[in-house]
Amino acid sequence: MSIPQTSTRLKLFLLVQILAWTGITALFIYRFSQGKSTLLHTIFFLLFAIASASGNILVLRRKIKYPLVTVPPAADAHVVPPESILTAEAQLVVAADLHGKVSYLNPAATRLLGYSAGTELSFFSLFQEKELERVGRNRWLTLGAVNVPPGPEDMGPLRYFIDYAASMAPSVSHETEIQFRREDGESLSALAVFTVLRDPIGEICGILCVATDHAMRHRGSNERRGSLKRGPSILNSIADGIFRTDPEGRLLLVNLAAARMLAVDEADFLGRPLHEVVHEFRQDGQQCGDECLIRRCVTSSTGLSGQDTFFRRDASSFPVEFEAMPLIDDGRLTGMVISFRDISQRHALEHMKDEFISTVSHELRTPLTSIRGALGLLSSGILGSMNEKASHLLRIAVSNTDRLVRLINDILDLERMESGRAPLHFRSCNLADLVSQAVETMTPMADTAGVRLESTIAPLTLDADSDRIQQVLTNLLSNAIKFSPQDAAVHITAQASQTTGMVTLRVTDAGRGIPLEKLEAVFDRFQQVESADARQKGGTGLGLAICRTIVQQHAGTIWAEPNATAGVTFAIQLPRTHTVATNNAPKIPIHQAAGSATILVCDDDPGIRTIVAEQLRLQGYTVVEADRGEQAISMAEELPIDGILLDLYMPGLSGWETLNRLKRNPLTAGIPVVVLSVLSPSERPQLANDADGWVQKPFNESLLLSELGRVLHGADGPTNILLVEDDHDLANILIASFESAGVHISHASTRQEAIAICRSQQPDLLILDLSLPDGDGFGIIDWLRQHPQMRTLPVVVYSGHEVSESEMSQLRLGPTQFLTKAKVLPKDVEALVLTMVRQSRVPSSISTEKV
Amino acid sequence: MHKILIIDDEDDIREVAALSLEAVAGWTVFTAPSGLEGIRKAAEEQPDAILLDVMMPEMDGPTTFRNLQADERTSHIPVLLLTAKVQGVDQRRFASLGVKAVLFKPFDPLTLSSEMASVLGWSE
Repeated sequence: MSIPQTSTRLKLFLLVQILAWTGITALFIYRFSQGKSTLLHTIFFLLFAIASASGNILVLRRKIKYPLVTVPPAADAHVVPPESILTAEAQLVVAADLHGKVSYLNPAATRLLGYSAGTELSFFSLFQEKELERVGRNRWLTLGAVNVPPGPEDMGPLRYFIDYAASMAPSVSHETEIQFRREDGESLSALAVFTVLRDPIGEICGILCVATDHAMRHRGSNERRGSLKRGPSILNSIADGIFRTDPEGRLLLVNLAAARMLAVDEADFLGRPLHEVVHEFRQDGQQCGDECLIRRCVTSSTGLSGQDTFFRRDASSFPVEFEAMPLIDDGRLTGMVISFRDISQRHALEHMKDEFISTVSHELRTPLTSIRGALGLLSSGILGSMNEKASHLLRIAVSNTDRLVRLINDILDLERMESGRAPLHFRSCNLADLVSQAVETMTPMADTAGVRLESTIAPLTLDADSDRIQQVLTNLLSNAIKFSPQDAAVHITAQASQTTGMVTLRVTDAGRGIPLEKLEAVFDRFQQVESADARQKGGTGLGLAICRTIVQQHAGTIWAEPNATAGVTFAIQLPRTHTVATNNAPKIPIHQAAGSATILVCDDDPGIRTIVAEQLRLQGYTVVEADRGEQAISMAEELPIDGILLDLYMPGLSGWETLNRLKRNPLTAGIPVVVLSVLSPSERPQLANDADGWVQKPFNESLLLSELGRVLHGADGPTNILLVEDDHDLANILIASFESAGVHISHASTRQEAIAICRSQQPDLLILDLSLPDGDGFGIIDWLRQHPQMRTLPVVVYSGHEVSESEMSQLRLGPTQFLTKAKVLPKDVEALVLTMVRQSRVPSSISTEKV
Repeated sequence: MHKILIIDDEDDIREVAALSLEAVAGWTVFTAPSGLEGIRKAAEEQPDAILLDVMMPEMDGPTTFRNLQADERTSHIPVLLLTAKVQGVDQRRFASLGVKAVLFKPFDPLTLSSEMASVLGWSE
């Protein structure tokens, strides 16, 4: 008889039993591989999933519906993460079948008891005989002391043992001090729990002993500390701080890094509210209100990430970046996992960089000031006349000094904006004023060039940083003037859309225009249409890149389009209302947002409204909010709303009454409504009929977005996405991540297959890997470009390496995004793709009205 | 004819700026290479306006300005800051000091005087 190789099944089986015994709800982890889901048992993956929430592993949370052994959990058993038990340093796990044959020893048991693999063992031989006699007042132990392995026919002593374990009353403490017998005959004292193992139909099939080594147990200063020490060493070896809370926000687990950063013994934290632990000692006199992100972590029950400051007991503090993830089990919140890292070093670096830029900027300008001043005075002739050749040379020197100054200004400007160190100052601006100021600024230049500036702007307000928008307008005007022929006119117009809440400004010239293939590239740095432009036209090559950055910071879009006759039109589209700045910049900037749907969020809880609105806005939606049903109905009647997210439990007019009225009102009946509720749709069937979509609270972001996407675009039929990827594992992960989003995805692993699929059914979007066995992604793009109906296909290039600027311009079809595999997770690809699909569909249903 | 005091630690800039104001506008210009020297000259010469550099060793522009404001002999003289720092945060800080205006380096020597005149409300 030998200790069998522990099979995955057995390990899983044991884990389930242990989980059942400790009363812990298990986390099941599936990995999608080759189209099938495989239950993974590996502990590493669980930690990985919790720690990184990576998209290639889906964590499904289920309550164990397994026949349970009715044994109460130990007092703080739930503090011990379930996954730690089988691998814990000091936790012995021994299982035996009904014949008394040991079928499993965990690594700790093998090590602590000194048995080597291959030893034949009977269950009873693992315990000291005299010890069993000493505690012989228990019937089962007395009988169990008969040190004879029962034969297959003779259940003998084991029968009693099992009867005892199975009949354990829930109220009886079942922990027993026990002496194990090591292989060398020595004793190992431990605190043991015995329980029976049942097969899936509930039949008893074996016995399980989980014991804690005394010596290890008492090494800690107290029980709680001990429980942490027994915790997963992986958690403790992670440099990020990790908290695990219960649904009320009290700490259940604190890893070593968290305790170290906060300079407190981890045991002192357990059981205390998370918010108190990190904000109690703040000395800046501020009270945490609803805006406190840490508070929101607990009250909102949604995933949240951001930056914050944590305070230590001595009132010192450090900036952190944190991510909070809810643990949800059958729709019930069981707690949160919060991971955080100290970012003081990064802050210090940013500060240094700021100082450096400020210094460089100053140091470069100082000598330029003397040069420019001297040259200016000389070339003006004010100090005496000189010959034509000399003054011509001086004019060259002056204009190039000016160019150098502009270049320094533009580089510093762009650097500051792109690093987020030049925050925008939003306020309500009159668009006509903005335009007329820009026109006024540029009039001298236009006069010199003999170009007319004509603007027709209706009075219209928008929330913007007026200085920055002026900068964009003057840049665009300056370009238009530079490239216009003499006596031509440059037009500025504005359109506002009532539906999308966006305003579109257009600057149209009658100049030489921009070749089609450069319409996108002109927004890149130093990408002038003609290489001689920088010199001849005096541009820096950064003007449009700056414009694009500013417009993006306003959550807007900028693009260039050729005119029907001559010249080019630069258009910027900006949202009229600025939404409260989020501390989370969208991870993936959406440059080509073609339009946006307006969503009404109705919930009486301002915290939830804020979070939902934030997530929707990041996806390019325009959001309006209502805190009462009545308000929602009147807003839906008056505003051009494309969809409603409705909370069911609200004071006053309840969610279902609101839904009922919305659906009976001819003005609002056509607006799709997604219900947000703690209930499941099956619990409210009547309501579920009225609602177009249903998201159960606490919800996660991607579910909410995909449900919203589904109800907004349901009529259009499923989206067809073509995935071109030769790595099958990655392809399967991506396909799996789209499964819940209601899109149809076809997969091609070669260039030939991709083209064949495009021929048979035109996709709505292409996800493209660049390296393929029979060619590369460029070939596919070239092929698509030759087919007019596919020339504007949205493309996501998801490649293994960074794509260069020139490669980017070769790869652009319609709206095109570039992602690098190592930097972007599959779930981000999913989010981006769904956003792009949404944006490519919305504009067709939205009309813009001229103001 | 206006009397201007330029305080800047850079010899070249002092010279160019002085030449610009003298040659283009015909103003009388005094210069000082440091804040301390500037304060002394301002009290002595009673200029109509002071053009003050921001980044100077020992006493920087803002400190010099506060000292000028604190001295009753010079507190009435309008001060214009001349700075090579163009970062928004710096600009806002300077504007909050209470100076008449903030002008930027590099300046155009042909228009420096007219810019100053327009800020100070001097009609030429």
